[in-house]
Amino acid sequence: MTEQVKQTEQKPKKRGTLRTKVAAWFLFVSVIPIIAMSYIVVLLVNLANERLVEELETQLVRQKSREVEKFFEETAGVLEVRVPLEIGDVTIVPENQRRLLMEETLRESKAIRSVSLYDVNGQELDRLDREVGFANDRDLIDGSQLEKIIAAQEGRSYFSPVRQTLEGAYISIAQPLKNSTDTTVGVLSGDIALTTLRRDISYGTLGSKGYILFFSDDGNIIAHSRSALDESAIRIGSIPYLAQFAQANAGAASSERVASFTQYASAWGERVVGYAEPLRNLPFVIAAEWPVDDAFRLSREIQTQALVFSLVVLVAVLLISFLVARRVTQPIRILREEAKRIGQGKFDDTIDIKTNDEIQELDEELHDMAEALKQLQQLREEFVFIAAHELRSPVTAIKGYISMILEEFTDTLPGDTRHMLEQVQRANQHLVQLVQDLLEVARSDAGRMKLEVSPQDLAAMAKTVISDLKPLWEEKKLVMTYQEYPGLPSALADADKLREVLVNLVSNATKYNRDAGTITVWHEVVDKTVVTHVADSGIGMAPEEVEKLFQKFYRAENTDTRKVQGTGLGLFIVKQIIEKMGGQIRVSSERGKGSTFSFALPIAPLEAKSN
Amino acid sequence: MPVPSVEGVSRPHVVDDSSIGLDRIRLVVVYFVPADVIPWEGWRERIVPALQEMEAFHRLQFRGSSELVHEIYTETIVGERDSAFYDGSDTARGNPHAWEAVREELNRRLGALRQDDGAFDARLVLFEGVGAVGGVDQILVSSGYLQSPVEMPRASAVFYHELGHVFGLKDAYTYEHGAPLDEDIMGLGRNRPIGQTYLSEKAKKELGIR
Repeated sequence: MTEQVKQTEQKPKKRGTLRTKVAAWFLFVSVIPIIAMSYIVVLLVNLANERLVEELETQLVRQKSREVEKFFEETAGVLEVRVPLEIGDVTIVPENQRRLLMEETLRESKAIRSVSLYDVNGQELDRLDREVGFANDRDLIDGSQLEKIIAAQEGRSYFSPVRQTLEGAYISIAQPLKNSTDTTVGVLSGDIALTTLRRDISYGTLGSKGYILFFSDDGNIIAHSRSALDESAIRIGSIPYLAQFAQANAGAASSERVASFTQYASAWGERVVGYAEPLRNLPFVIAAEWPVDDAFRLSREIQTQALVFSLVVLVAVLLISFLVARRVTQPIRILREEAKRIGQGKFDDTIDIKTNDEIQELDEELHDMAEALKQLQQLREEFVFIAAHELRSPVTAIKGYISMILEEFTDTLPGDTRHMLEQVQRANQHLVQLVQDLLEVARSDAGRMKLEVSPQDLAAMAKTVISDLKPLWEEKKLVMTYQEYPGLPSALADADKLREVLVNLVSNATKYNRDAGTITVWHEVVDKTVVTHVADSGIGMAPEEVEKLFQKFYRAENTDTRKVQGTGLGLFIVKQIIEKMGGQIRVSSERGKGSTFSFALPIAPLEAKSN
Repeated sequence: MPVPSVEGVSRPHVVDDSSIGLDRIRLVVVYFVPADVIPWEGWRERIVPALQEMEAFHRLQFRGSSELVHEIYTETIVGERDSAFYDGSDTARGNPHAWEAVREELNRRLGALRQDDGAFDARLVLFEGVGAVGGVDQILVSSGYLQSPVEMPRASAVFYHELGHVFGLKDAYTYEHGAPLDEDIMGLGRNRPIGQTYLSEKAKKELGIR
């Protein structure tokens, strides 16, 4: 079809599909619980992991704290000596007894590497080194200016800062030597090697990367379990954040000292979760640090697994949702197709739906309805056919008799009688046409329209029809133009029906034309069809009129069309004929300017000869 | 409780002067013998272990933020003057006169110590005479610390104590009675084997060691 052939079509309104809606709802209902469940699981696992980390760190810190406290209880306790009531100054104790005391002190605690005894004035009376033995007198010192001696003289226990030496770390503890009346009579001081303590600390680990830190109130690391002890201890040195933590608790009573549990960047630059507790009555702090990537490895693994599982389930749900939606909507689609076919008059083309539910019931109702409509249509067609058939004889008889009367008594009939008879004749002619059209429609509906298709010379037939209808178009002073198409191929068609189509189209072009208007007829070959166009310069039609043009009994209602007689069945019959011959018909029109009717018929094969 | 970030290791420096860094310390060892004294042949074998102990001690106390290295001037420097000149009239307090006289002579004869490679240069003079004093850029210590079985155990500690004065640290004992004010190497610890002593937190703070 050329571009001139247009049929105004209303664009279908966009609608969603039930399948998409069902799938979307199924997905929504499934996905929300999955996401919620995954989120809750991950949350719970994280919480559980956090609690576990806290518990493990707390346990380890407290365990190590107890070990350290026990260590110092034992060592400092050994240095806590009371002498009998009558002794007011330790100098009065004989040297051998003093030495016995010192030897006993070393025996009681292997961590003490040397012990010194001072008098109340801070003069060193004796010193016993585990390796060297008792010091010479000339090596004894005046300790009166030393902090530890001053503290002990005041009745306080003294703990020195940790001293890092090449022979190992140690601290110095000084205890006042008291008599039974609690009077300080001297000072007992010992250097405590921290080797065993550092070894114990080095065994404290968490997971594969967590470790313990043992440090003093001023933030100096004494020991840790992170890696090679000494080297790391040298590099770390004093860590301010630990010092601040320790100092934050320094002023508080031991029962009020606060432990903390938080995440931060460690001295080694890792993100860690840390827990620290100050020791009771000792100027030290034990902290556990656990790199978060190791501490929360379990929960992260679970998170990843949960995520993967959720994604897998999501994809599965997605597929299932579409399958379910398809299964649910398929019977409905079948029902829709059936309804459509019923609407098109195809009452026998049904499908049985076996879903054992309301949809099957609906399908059965639809079948019943189709059967009823089929019977109704059959009755209607029968009625129309019978009525038209029965009417044909009387109207033909009326036509005949009227014609005879007008011919035989043409000279004797009174003028007004003649006029009335001519009116009757015209009305009867219309009735004859109507009966013929009805019969044709009835035959077509009943499938009784017989076509004998053979190659037809469209050009010749068109010219014949134009010639036959010349009186009609000449009467309106129309200009008829026929455009030749050299070598126009034959079209496959029924000769009589083809003529009927051409007569109808040319007649319409004449009837609905203006006086002194034009009619143009031409052909073209498009794809494998021969297309014939009949264009007029007549009254034309509005788009809404064009839509219904090929419907039964439709006639456009306006002042122009009312002047023209017609049954409203002509174009319906033309369309039926063309389509039954395997062709198509279209119309383009503009109100006030005219219309162009175009029909296409298949080209006859070359071996077939045209009539 | 807020947890601040860890501060980096600061640059160690001379006491009260952060512009003089102690990241790398080069100890130039010179054996100085007054003109009238017979040199001790075995000094090299004895000085090296002491220097190694000092270096180990230094590394530990400075927490890896400073390096102490030594260079031994292989030639024995024979003084221009006799021992009477270098000892002077008062050898108490480590013989500061000898420290001054030897320093002047060595600077004149060997040239200035400071080089332009960023190291902190100091001289360790192993002196055939009485001495144990340190300051500015030189320590002067008697070879007797390496020869006497009684003194040998604490030789390294004495040498490092004097080096501490070069860094600007003060003695941690009273001059009147010698009573220690602290047990670290600047006080009581100078009389102990270097393996048993340490640098106090107060001294570390003065030196900018974190």
